[in-house]
Amino acid sequence: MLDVDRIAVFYGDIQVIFDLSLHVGEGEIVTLIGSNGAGKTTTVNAISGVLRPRSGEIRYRGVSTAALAPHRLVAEGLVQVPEGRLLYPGLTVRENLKMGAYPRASRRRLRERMDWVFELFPRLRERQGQSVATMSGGEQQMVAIGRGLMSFPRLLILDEPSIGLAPLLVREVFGVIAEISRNQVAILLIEQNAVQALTLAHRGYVLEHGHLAHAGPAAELLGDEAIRSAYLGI
Amino acid sequence: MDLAILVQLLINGILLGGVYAMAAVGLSLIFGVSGVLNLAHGEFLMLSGFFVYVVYDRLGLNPFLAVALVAPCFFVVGYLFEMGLIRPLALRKEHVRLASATLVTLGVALIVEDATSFASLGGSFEKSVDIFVPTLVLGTVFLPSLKLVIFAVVLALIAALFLFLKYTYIGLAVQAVTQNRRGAVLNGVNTFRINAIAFGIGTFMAAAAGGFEVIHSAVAPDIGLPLTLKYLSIIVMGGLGSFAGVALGGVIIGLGEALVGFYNPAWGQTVAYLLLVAILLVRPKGLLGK
Amino acid sequence: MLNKSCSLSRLGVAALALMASLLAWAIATPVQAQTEILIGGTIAQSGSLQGIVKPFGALGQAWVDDVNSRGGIYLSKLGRKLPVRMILYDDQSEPPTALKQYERLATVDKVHLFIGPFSSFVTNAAMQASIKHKIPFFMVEANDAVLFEENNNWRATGLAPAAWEYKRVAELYKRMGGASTFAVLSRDNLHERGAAQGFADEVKRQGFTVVYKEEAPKDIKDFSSIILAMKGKNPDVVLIEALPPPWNIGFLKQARELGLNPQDIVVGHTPIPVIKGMGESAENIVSSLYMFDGDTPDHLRFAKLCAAAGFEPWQYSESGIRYRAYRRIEDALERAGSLDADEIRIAMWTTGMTLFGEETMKHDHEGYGTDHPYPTQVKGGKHVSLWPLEKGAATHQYKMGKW
Repeated sequence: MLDVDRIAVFYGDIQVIFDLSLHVGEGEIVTLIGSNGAGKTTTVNAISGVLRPRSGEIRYRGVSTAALAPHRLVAEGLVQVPEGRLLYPGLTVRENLKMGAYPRASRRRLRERMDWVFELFPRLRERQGQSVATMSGGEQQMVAIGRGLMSFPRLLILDEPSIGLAPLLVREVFGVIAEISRNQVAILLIEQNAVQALTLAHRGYVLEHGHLAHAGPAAELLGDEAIRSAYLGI
Repeated sequence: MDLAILVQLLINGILLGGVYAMAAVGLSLIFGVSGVLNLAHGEFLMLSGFFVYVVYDRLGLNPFLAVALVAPCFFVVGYLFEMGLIRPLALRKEHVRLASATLVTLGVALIVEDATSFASLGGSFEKSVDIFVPTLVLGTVFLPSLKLVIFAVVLALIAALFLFLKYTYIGLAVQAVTQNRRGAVLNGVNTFRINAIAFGIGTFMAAAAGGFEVIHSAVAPDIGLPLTLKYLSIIVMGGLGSFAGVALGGVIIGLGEALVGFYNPAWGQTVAYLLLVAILLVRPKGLLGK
Repeated sequence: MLNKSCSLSRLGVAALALMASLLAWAIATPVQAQTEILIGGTIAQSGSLQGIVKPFGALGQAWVDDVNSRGGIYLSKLGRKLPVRMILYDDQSEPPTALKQYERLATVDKVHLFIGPFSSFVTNAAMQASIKHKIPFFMVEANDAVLFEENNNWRATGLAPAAWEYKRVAELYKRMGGASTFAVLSRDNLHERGAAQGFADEVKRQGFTVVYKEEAPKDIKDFSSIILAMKGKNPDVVLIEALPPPWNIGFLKQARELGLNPQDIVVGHTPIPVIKGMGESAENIVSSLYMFDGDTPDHLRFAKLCAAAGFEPWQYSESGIRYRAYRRIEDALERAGSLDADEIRIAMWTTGMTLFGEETMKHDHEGYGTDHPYPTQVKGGKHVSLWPLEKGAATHQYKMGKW
């Protein structure tokens, strides 16, 4: 599904990602963990086409993404739910979800898709007409994830979905992620909450200062001493 | 002050404000979506006025019909203007991009004004359409019929814009790009195309305003920049990101000019800027700004 | 024998030397200066002013052709007539361009005198070349006070100060009767302020009342409040003083809409676009142009020259000022009798000629002249003269609020 092949990413003249390779297969949940500033969001933005790697290649479903504008990638099913949610504050829940289905193919199946999102997040159905600016952090996160699902993604990238949420909500969110995965959506999960992420994921990557430090099956990473002390607070 | 005069001034002010509002809303749309202050906005207004005059004069068409023909062409002009002059700057860093884009539009404004002055279609420099619709008189209040027709069309156009934004997908995308550009990119919106569409719609509205200007008043090559300045004041006063605010700002300025201008015409023009400062002191984000 | 041949050869050498120096002197003296009168100037053939002065280049050429058809201008100190040649560049309505071109006329074309460009602000720049190169400058359409701030012997204008602009209009109303209260609106610019104030003063001098007097900024687009205020004062006559463009049309259209119906409306500057824009409503608008009807030699000649340039005098009002400038140049050259710059300059200043059978052209110590316009009225889309006073009073019809 997704092949990141030895990319190097720069901000101006400063290199922030060094020779990074990772892979997400169909039906997988893959997590990318690391401390603040490690370069997780940068990696994700490179995958979404917002940033261009200076070297290396990113292939989505076998095709290099270099030639495709970001909005084209979304139409092809590569969707990011960004850190900070980036919702439309002046629009309602419903309207935000509608925008998630902007690619033409999704628009035709708008109703069907919105119904599914409301099944995943019943609270949103109640508050369809509410302006998102008036909602709590947790509710906004639900809208953000729901919005990401509206365009029938094949690969869904979630950048820090649990940040700032109460533990109960965090569990709910992770439950939803699992449900999404069961619906044939490959998932790349960026998380500070490393324990929960590695518990949920099939495989994981650890990013340190822009370098890939560790990679492997999630269970292995969970058991690794070095990782436990550095990232899991155990 | 006589009640009849006050009523008359209020009506004048609202009619005046309505016309201001339309072009200002166009400029506000462009700014909200693309972040560019299009200082050439007034020039498109002026050019449209000239073309409407030429169509009316050479082809003998009804002036309103001429506006209906000419103004939509300016949608294309605005669209291409964004694609050709503004978009190439999009690749630069953010703060440089906005400053240079605004400067580019200022450069275009000056060039257009100069060139029109130079060329002077038809050998003279002011154009006006000879059309008169008898005024409706209610007691001592005069309702200038032509202005009323124009006001009605302005309201219709602003309403149409509102409906477009609220009920079409592209309209929703325009709102989305205005509110969170990065979010829109990640939702698959081609934000460049939305920029161009915003420029197109905004320029169309300026063109419509220009057509009305040549019908109920006159146009000359140098009217562009002072009008653009006034629209900028209205936008800042009304609050960025709110069309209702712009419309309200336009009406307030119209009323201010009418009421103060009754006592002193020079102050009537300055009052617009005084109101702007006063409102910003009380509400820094503008009347209905977000 | 030897003595005689020596003195002969000395005589021969002396004769040769004399002939050589005569030849050298003849060559050294610029022959060109003595074969034609060279006049230099600029006119706006492009840019913002072109609408007002488009045909004036052709008008100048028509004048030159007319003068030369009679052999030119007689210069007494040369004992013969010299033909005239006029070089006119396009100043593009830009002062810096004009200055460069006047410099060129002085240094490259080496003209004997300057004829001024259109408008005070362009003239202000061009004048510098005249001061620098000491070439007499016949100002034409320029009479702003700023031009006369400094003492300058090299230039004079035929125009009276702005305050005189509506003198004859006020005289006409005195003659006709039927109006006693006046409203005056002007743009808040130096020239317009002066003209409006002059009219207000003249009106009061004639025994009338000024019930409304205001100035409004250049960019004003909506005159509703002004019109309402004027209506409240109920003036018999409304006068608008604003140089083009669009002010006048905006005001008239809105006055029409809001029911301002005075006995008469005077719009000082009513060029063709205003008449066209107002359509039928332009009928009976009173204006003020540099022309009046008559059959003096000046009248006939002026009409002939305009016809040769392809227009009627009323269509380009300032053509009258141009024509008077040509006459001032003729007059100055004839009285100077030579092409000497100082003599031409003095002759320019000391003129006292009669124009059009009744105007006396004189300069005051500052450099103003005595030209000021005559009342006209729009009838059937054209300007019709309302001068002399008896004829004007008989021809004039009050607008009576009819649009």
